[in-house]
Amino acid sequence: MARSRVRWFAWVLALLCGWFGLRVAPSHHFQTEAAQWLRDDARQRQLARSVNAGLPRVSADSFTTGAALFDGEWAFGTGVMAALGNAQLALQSPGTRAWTLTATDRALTQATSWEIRAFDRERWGSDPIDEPDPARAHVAYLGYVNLALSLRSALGRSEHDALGEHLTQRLVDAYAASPALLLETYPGEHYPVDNAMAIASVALRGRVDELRGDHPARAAQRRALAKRWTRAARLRYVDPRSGLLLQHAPPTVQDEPSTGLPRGSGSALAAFALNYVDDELSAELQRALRKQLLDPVLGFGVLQEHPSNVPWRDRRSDIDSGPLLFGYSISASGFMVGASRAHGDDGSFVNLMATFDLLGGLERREFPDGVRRSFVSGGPLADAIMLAMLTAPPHHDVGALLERASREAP
Amino acid sequence: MKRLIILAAVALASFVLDRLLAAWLFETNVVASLLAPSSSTALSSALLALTFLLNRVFLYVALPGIACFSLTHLAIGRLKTRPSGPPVPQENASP
Repeated sequence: MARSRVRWFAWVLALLCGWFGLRVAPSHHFQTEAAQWLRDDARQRQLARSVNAGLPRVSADSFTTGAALFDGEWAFGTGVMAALGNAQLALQSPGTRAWTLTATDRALTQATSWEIRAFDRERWGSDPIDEPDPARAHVAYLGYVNLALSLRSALGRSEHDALGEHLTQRLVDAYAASPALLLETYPGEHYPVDNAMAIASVALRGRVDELRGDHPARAAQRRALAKRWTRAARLRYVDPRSGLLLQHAPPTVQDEPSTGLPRGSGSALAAFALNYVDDELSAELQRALRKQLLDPVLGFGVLQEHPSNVPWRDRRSDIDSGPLLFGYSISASGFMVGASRAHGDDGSFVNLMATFDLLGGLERREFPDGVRRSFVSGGPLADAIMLAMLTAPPHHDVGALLERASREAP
Repeated sequence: MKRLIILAAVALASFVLDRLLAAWLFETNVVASLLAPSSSTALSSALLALTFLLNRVFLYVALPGIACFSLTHLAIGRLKTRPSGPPVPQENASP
């Protein structure tokens, strides 16, 4: 009897120790590492070195998604995210501007090149920059590139200023002609997340112009447009049950929810972009994402792509979500890193970064120009996206950072 | 003891595999291959990337749990088989 009790005790104790080894030790180690990203910007600089060194080799041929459109989108996305990441680093760390501004300009030159914008040109049948018809919005290209151009303009004059101003005015005119306040990503396709990028780019340029005292009436008009968009988006393009953004939504002029399914990846990317709009929609999306989709597994944070109110038959993966494993999305989790950083949700940030350190295979190497870090299982696109997310400025500091940049701008 | 040696050997092999694959992946781009395993090159890259991910989960998450369980079980087993109380001195039988 006594021996049998001892044997049971041994098993229970061994299982408890095993559970501790599985549940506590690994996540604690990776979370401690992840917290270093919040301490200062040393790791962000190392990641930026890696992104900037790899960017000149990136083209549509670098990717093999199986569809030329997506290969092109990913090559473009790598350049835009690299530009955003470097510019955000410059915004928050003036000491890095000597090289981050050069890197931003190089990334923008690449993202606006004829070859890189081919994916959008082929889909629309006309070039996104030289488009003669103002009704054709090209938001898949213009929304993203213009956010990077607007952020660059906040850091001082550059060769990209004229293009940024031209694209911003085109977007403003297109919204003025759209009662639903939803522009086309591709012909016949409307994605609120791409519109969130476009609106953020317009609002940001308005804020920068206002700080500089350039065209005050025009700047006020652009900021008002962004306010109008966020108000309309809350009523029309945000799912009232989950609080998440609809991924694909037909435009509507009624102030009631459009049809479409809420998704994690689109909502998290929109929360990141809308950080530049002087409005709380970005914070509301981040809170909804944390409540509805963030799901720590053994202490590692991962985001579901679909909230519980989406029927199982509709929970499919696509190019935006990336491959789903038990419903968890790497894309949504990556974009949530930026949204969590922007809104000071350090707990979610650390949990998510522990996952990216583990599964992304974060590696550190010495190079002649300094230490570089890279998420080795993600390739250049993942590195560029993570750089943009890991340098997202705190929402309530954006105004002060823009003001300082405007004061210090050459 | 044999179990511990096997565990240590598995941990070492897993760690070496992790370092080798990390060094290889640092130089390549595999995320696209994971999404489009249509060509043979993409398939081999995707398999290597998947091996890297699964090995890291095993090495850094599962293995510490297995090691804690095994070590505790072994330690308790040792305690159980150890004779209790101080050793009794043998009487000298010789005159």
